[in-house]
Amino acid sequence: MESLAYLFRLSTAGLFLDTNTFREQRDNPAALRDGFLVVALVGIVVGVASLIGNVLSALASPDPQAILDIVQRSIERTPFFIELQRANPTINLDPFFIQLSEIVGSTRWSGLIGAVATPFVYLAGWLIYGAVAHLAARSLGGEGTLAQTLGCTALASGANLLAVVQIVPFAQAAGTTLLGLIGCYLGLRAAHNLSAWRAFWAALVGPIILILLLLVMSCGALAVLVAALRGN
Amino acid sequence: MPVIDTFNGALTLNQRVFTEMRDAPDGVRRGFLIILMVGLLVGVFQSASALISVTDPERVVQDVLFSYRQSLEQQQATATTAEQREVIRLLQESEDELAEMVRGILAVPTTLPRPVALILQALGQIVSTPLNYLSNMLLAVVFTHLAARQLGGQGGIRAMVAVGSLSVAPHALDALTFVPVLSFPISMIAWGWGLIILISGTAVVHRLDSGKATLAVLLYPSLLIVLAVLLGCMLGVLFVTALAGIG
Repeated sequence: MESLAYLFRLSTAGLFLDTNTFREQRDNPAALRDGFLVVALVGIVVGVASLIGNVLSALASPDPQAILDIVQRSIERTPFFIELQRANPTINLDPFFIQLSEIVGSTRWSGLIGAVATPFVYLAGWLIYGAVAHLAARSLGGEGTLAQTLGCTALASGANLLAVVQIVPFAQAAGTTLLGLIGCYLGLRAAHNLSAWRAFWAALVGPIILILLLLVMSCGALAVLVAALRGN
Repeated sequence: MPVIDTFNGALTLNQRVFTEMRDAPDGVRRGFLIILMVGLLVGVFQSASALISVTDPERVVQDVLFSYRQSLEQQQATATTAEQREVIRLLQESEDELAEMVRGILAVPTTLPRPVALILQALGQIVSTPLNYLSNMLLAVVFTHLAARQLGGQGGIRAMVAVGSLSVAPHALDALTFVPVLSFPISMIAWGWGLIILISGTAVVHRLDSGKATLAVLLYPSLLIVLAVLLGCMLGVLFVTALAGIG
């Protein structure tokens, strides 16, 4: 088992885009194992930080239900709403606010669930992205093995170390996706000895497929919604 | 070279600093340190300013009412029918209820004592600021790098990120944007200064002349603006056609 210090050095090398470490990782016989440990370590560190941040945020925030009650009572007292109710006595805000309460209630624990799931999400994302990028790199003339691709792209997950700031409640992590993509590009270049443009397209194939899938799914959902509205 | 010297060199467009950052193996780390330094400085000033205003609930109420009145005035200027004007009048009369609502929300208790909650919010803002600068810088650097390579540049993305980080240095001026009158001019100066640093850095990293480096920095943002204008025009035409169809 590699030492934590070594794994931490690998992840920070990914964060700071150290090209020499990417090349060393390509020639590392245990690239896949080390890559897996780096992604898992980063996921656990970010997950724990996010968990602490979420708990502190919940303690430092007012009760959302109390806020919703105040908002509803205030709207009901406005001259605008009173006039609206005079014109249409059946108008009632209760159903709307009950639904809103249910939504707020259901999202209350989503932050905690997300924090616990972080290492698994990172590992799944790394494996899926790595497999797609490997196929793209090979089809563009790359020479690396799947283990080398995964080993090198794992270093890019070091960019997620920036998300450790979430240990501070209300802090927002930004820039991790773009920095991670730049790391993947460097990883693919190192693993497959690709030219700059080929590595660029190999790094982008996965996100492009994802965006296209999301677009198709959004259009499908919109079509279903329109069909349902027409049916009504 | 110490980080503070790199910071000063970036502000004075010192070509030696740009070259050193391009070639240094730890250039990205040093660049990120500058972003961290600038971000924390700006974050501390901005969150301290926000903290002072939040500690006086009545000031928050007045700020909300000011925005509400401004929004209604804008709608009043564009109102064309008697019904629209009546709705705006009723909304204007609802101002007291809005103020009461804001006071009520500010008075809702939190599990942690309110001062602790406010300090935690300020800390959150402070640590988020460097990451916002980093995110914006990375976006600008990636588009500039793509354009520079298309224009014949030979630099790598790692060197571009290292040198591009220097463009965040002038944003230290953003720490003064809490002064209401100075906010806009200071932001514009910082933005323009950062743009000049990015152009100089692109020229150094990609070994391009300043004309091509300027084109590389401005190419994709200009294209995006043109696309946004075209999209806006198309949506406008669609909207007018739809209105004509209803008429």
